Amino acid sequence: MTWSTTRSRWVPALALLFLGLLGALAPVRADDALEAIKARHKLIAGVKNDTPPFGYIDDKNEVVGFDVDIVREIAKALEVDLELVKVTSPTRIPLLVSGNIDLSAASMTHTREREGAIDFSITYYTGAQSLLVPAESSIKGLDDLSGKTVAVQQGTTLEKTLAKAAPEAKIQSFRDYTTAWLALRQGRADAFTGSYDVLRGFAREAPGFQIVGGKFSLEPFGIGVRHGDWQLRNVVNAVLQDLWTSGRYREIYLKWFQVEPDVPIETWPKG
Amino acid sequence: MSYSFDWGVLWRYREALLGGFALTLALSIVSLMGALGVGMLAGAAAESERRWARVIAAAYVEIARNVPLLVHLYVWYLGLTTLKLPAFWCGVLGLSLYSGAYVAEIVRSGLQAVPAGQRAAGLASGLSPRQVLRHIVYPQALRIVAPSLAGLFSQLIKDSSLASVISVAELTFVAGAIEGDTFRTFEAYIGITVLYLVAVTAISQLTLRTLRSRIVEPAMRY
Repeated sequence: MTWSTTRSRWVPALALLFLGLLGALAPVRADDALEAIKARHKLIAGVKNDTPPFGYIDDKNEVVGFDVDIVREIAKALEVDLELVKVTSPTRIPLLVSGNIDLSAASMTHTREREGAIDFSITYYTGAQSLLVPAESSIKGLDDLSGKTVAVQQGTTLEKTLAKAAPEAKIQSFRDYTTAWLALRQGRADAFTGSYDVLRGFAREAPGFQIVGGKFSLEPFGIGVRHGDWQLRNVVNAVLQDLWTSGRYREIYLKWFQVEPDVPIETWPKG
Repeated sequence: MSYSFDWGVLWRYREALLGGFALTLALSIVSLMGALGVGMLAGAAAESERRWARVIAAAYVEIARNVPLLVHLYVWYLGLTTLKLPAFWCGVLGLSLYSGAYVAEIVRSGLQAVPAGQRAAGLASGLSPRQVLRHIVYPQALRIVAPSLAGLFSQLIKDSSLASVISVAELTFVAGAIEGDTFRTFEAYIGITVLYLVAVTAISQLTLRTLRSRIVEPAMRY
C-alpha cells in the first residue's frame, strides 16, 4: 500500500511542475516580423493543405491554391523567398504567435472575436456559405433542412451562421473539412455546409453531388499576423491592393474559381 | 511578447467545457465497462481448454490491438454507416473493442501468474472446476492485475480524446470549438490539459481503491 500513498503525493507535485512548465512556454518572437523576413531573406507563410481550392495538395504532391498564390505574390513584392508551412486549426495560432511562421493565410474568416488573438489584413477574399447535397436529395435550400443532419467544420463562422439560418437542422460538427465531407459521402449527413468555393472544390472530385440553396452569409477572409506587427500588415495590405489594381488578383481568382471576382478589394489612395 | 493570454475565455466557455468534461467521463466509463466485459471474456477464452475459444480470442486480440484506435473509430462511424449508430456509441464501440484487447492480455497474464498448484489443490479438495475458477483462480488473478487495469483505465480516458474526430463533443472537441471561435488555442488546450489531468488522476485513484477494497482485500481474507 505504500506504493499508492507515495504516488498520490507525487501527483499534485507533478501537476504543479507541469503548470509551471506551461507558464514558461511564453511565446518568443523577433521584434519585427518584417525585419526578420528581410534579414533571413525568406517569408514563412502558414497555409492549409486540406481546403481546396485555397490550400491543398495537388497530384504532384505540392501545396497549391488561392491562398498559396496570394502569399507567393507577397513574397515576390518583398523580393524574398517563400517557405510554405502547412497549418491546421489547432496549430495555426501557436505557430504564428511563437514566430514559427510570419503570417497565416489559411482561409480564415475575419471576426471581431478572433481579433483578440491576432491581427488581420484587409479582406482578400469574400466567401459565401452554401450547401452541398447528393444529387438525388430532396433538400433544395435552407428551408428543407428541418430535422436533417448537416455536417460542418467545427468552430467556424459557418457553424454559427447555419444554426441561425436553419435552427431546425441537426448540426453535426467535425474537426476538419475532410471528415465532414466523408460524413456526407457515407450518408452520415444529409447535407454539408461550407464556403461556396470550398464546396465546389469538393464537388469537383466526386460527381453525384450538387450545390443548392444559393449563397448565404458573408465570410470575409483575412491574412493573420501577430498582434502589433503593423509593418508587416501594412505591406500585406499594400500588396493586396496592388494585386487588385494591376489585375493580377483577377488572374489568380479566375485560375482558382473560374469566375470573375464579385467583391473588389478596397484600395486606398497612395497619398 | 505580442501575445497576451486571456484566461477569461475558459470562464466564458465554462458550460461547453463542463459538458465536454462530462461527456469525456461518460465515454470513458461506459467504454471501460465494455472493455472489461469483452476483455474478461476474451482473456478467459484465451486460457480455455477448448481450442476454438483460444483461436477466436487470439484472433480478436491481434486484430483489435494491431489496428490503430483512430481506424477503429472511423470504421464504426463511417464504415458501418448503415448501422446509423449515434456518434457516441460508435466511440464506445471503438474504445471498448480496442481497450478490451488489452484487458484480455492483462487478464490472461493474470491467470497464468496464478501457480498451477493452486488449481490442482482446489480440484483435489473436491471443488468443481467452475468453483476453482470462481473462488481460487480469479480472485488471485485479479489481485495480480489490479494495478495494470488501473493503468489501462487512465489510458482509456486519454484515448477517448480521439472520439473528437467522429464528432463526439467531448473535451478535446470542445477545445477545438473554442479555438475556432476565438483563436485562443493556447488557453483552450492548456485548459483541457488540466481537466484531463484531474480526470485521469481521480479515476485511476478511484479504480485502484475500488479494485483493492472490492477484490484484493476480500481475496486476502482467504
